[in-house]
Amino acid sequence: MFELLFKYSPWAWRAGELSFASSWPLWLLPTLAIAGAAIIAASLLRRRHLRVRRRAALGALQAAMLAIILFMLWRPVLLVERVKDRENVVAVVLDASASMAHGEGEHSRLQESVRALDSGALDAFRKSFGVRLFSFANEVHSLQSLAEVPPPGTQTRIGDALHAVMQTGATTPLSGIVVITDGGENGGTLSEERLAELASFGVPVHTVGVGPEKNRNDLELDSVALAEDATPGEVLNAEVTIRHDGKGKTRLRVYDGERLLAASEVELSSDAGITTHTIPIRAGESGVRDLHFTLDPLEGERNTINNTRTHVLDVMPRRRNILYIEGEPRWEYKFIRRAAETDSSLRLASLVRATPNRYYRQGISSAEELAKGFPQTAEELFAYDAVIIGSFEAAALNAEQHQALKDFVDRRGGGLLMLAGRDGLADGGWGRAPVAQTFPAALPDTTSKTFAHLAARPRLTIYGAESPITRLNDDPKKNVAAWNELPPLADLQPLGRLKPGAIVLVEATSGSSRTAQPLLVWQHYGRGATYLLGTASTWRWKMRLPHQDQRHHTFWRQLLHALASDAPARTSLTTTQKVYDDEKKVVVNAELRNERYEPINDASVELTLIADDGATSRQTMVPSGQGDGRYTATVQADGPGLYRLSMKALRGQTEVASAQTHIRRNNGIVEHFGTQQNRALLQRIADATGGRYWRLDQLDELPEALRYSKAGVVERQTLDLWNLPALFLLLLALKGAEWLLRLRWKTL
Amino acid sequence: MERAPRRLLRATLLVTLVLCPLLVYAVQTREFEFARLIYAENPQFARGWAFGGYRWMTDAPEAETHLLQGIRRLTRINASSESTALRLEDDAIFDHPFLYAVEVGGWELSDREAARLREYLDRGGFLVVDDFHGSLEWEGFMQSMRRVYPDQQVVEIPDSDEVFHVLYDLIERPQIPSIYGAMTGRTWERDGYTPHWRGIYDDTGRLVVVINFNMDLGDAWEHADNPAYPQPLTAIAYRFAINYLLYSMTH
Repeated sequence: MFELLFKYSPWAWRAGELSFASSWPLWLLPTLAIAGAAIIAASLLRRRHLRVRRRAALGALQAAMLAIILFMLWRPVLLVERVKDRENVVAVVLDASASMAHGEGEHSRLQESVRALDSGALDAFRKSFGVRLFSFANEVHSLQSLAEVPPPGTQTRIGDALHAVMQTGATTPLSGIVVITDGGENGGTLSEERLAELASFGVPVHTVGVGPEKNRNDLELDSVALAEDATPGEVLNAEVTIRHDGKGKTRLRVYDGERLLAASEVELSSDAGITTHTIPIRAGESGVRDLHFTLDPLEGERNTINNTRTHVLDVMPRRRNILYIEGEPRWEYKFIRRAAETDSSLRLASLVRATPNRYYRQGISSAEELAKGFPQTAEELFAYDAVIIGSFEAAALNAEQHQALKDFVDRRGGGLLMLAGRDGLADGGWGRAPVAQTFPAALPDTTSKTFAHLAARPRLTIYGAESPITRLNDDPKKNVAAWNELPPLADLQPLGRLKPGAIVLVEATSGSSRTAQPLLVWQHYGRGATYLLGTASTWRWKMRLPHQDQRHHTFWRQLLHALASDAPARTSLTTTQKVYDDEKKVVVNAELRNERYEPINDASVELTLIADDGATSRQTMVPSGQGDGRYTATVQADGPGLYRLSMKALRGQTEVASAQTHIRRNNGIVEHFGTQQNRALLQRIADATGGRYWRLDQLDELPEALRYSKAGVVERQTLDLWNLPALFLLLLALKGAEWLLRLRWKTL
Repeated sequence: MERAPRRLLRATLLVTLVLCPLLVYAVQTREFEFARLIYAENPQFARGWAFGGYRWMTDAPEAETHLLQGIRRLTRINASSESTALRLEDDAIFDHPFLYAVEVGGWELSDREAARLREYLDRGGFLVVDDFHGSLEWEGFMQSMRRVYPDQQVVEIPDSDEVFHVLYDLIERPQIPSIYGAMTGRTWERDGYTPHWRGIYDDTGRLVVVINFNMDLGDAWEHADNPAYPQPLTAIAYRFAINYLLYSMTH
């Protein structure tokens, strides 16, 4: 119908540019317009018997006819660029990954796509273009016919496929690429940089989306956030994100191999289709935990492979070592120790100055440990992962100890916690110590005492509400309530002006003042982090609450873990991921440091990869060349299973470091996740390359649209518009309307 | 003639000790405040005490006044020079993780008080009992303590326990007598010939109650300025107190 009225296809109108091809001089146009208007005016003046409104209506109709006639006289044309018939090529690229084997009805997405092409679209392409057929999954294949589509591939690499097809345009005039896919990219091949590179070829990519944009009756275990290593006995929180299409309930189970480790009911919220659930995982004895997180399927759920995720947890044969020094016996000290003693993964070695001349040691591992008080050397101090300094004056340390303490945070990457007290923070002179550079706040510079005994109430900040350190309840609202209901503190010490990188987790209000002051603040500094706590009376949360209430101990255990867990070991062996789903290439990094945490750059480092079945391969790790003690290697983990990676570093014949870690390789996984159509990605590809997004049921329209592509061999055409049937019909309609009016007014 | 002013003094002290915590509790200004337990007496076991006061206030306030001076002089503990006295019903006991009870052979805890004391100890409190002697008073003490800890045994604290070593190594442990015992050379009272350092441990192996049986540390502290009381015994009584306190602040 459109072409009947307007002669040309909508795509010509969309792509073309309107112009006038008349050779008459431009001055003639206003002259004729004025003359025509004068004739119309004269004719209306003669009809004085008509009312003004009726004469105005007739004038408008005649003026419109005059305008159309003048428009036609000046020969309007559409200037279009369109591909030369039979001289260009269109690449039709079909997604043949495993996700295309899913189907919503009787047929798979791939079958639906082939059927759409076969039922006319492909022939329509062939009328104007040479057609090249491709399929892609992990790799791109050229096809002679649709019957040659290969079996489902284990990955979707859209970026690689488009790149490969575009490179064929170097030898053939490529007018466009039609990619028919569900958009389930999972090979990491479509970064912004890659999209810009694809756009630079100048070939429009028309994306045809297949499959529903939202899965029905499907649970997907989207991700598991859990530490990569732990210490024996440690209890870790795994944060599990679940995608779902509605409200409901399921059960989450966590297995170590075949052994059930944990299970819990999960309420699926109806709000956003995404539910996050936290489940505690006991690390157990040292060794490797081959974890499987599994959701019970919904009734009638078809895709259950995406109900499971795997994770590998290396439980290192060591505990987090924390040094705590107190300048005076305090109840806070006692209750922090009690909290730490409930967690076997923590070792709290503490020194409390019981008398002016004597320290009392607890939690030490040998008679020599801390025998001379606070560690005298950097090596001794760096053996700890975290340090807590209580009511202990800075003047008690010598210059070397102060420097070591600063280096402990900066270079060693340890966690430091400074507690309030009559000799703590500003009152202990810590504001002028070298380590003050690492503090998240500039302590008050005053000679008057800042530590005050007064009642104060703690409350979470927005950062605290999200922090694992201050999580007393998994439910965010209940967590805030748990903090608000804590008994008041009995002392407070101002922390001073916050520095730009400071993160306030908890603040406190005292008396009738509504102004809150920071209570627990931290920031990263160098490789480590420093925390300031402006109170020494959290012990009241233990003594003022029923003995079953664990909020005090939970808070302190979490804070101690946060302090110590991020402190890097002297030797580390890491991979970019712990689980490689349908990915064989494993990049391994090692970092070597000596007892002073200075980089070791001259070691000979050998990496060994051992598969489940004992197959072993060895490779030398290459130094980064940056003098940072880092070494790297890339290894192939071909088959599925658990792999052990072990590293040994030698200087001459002497072993200077060793480490090991584990990874898991899975096959046939990624294509079962994110199976809904990713329309946003397809739209982004089309927008970036000058193409368009299409639904599969719009495929028939694509061949005509492609004829007006600006890529390939194109010709410029001038399409006459003066003889558009629509214009003549309009003229007839206007004149007819005038006659009808005059007939009605009986003036014809 | 001498008894009247003494009674007046004790009555005043009683009122002060009971009311002070209510008036000034809000927030302590020192880390450690000596807290004495106020308890009701059991007439069956409280016989023979006739100095016009109550058993719980024996040796007060001189005992703690002297002891606190010693604690401030010998340790880094930020101790208040003032002391307080608290009933188990008073929530303020939870702000005082160290509690001293004297003459507990004649105490009588109600079921509610026994439960409160158990809760106090389970939360992390520490109790030192002192100055009761002989088998009769032991039975008086245990009648209430059994209701506090029906599930735990009272045991002799071994020499190796940290409570005897936290600051001072207290291997030699002589019987600490009352002032009368010190003056007469008769260090025991009733049939309490042998001193016992007994205790109750919680499920994690921490000592939570120290029982000074057949001895009188309170008198040794109280009479530290009395030439009639042997200085070596005062010194060792101070050492016990400091070890108990340091243990309670570190374990």
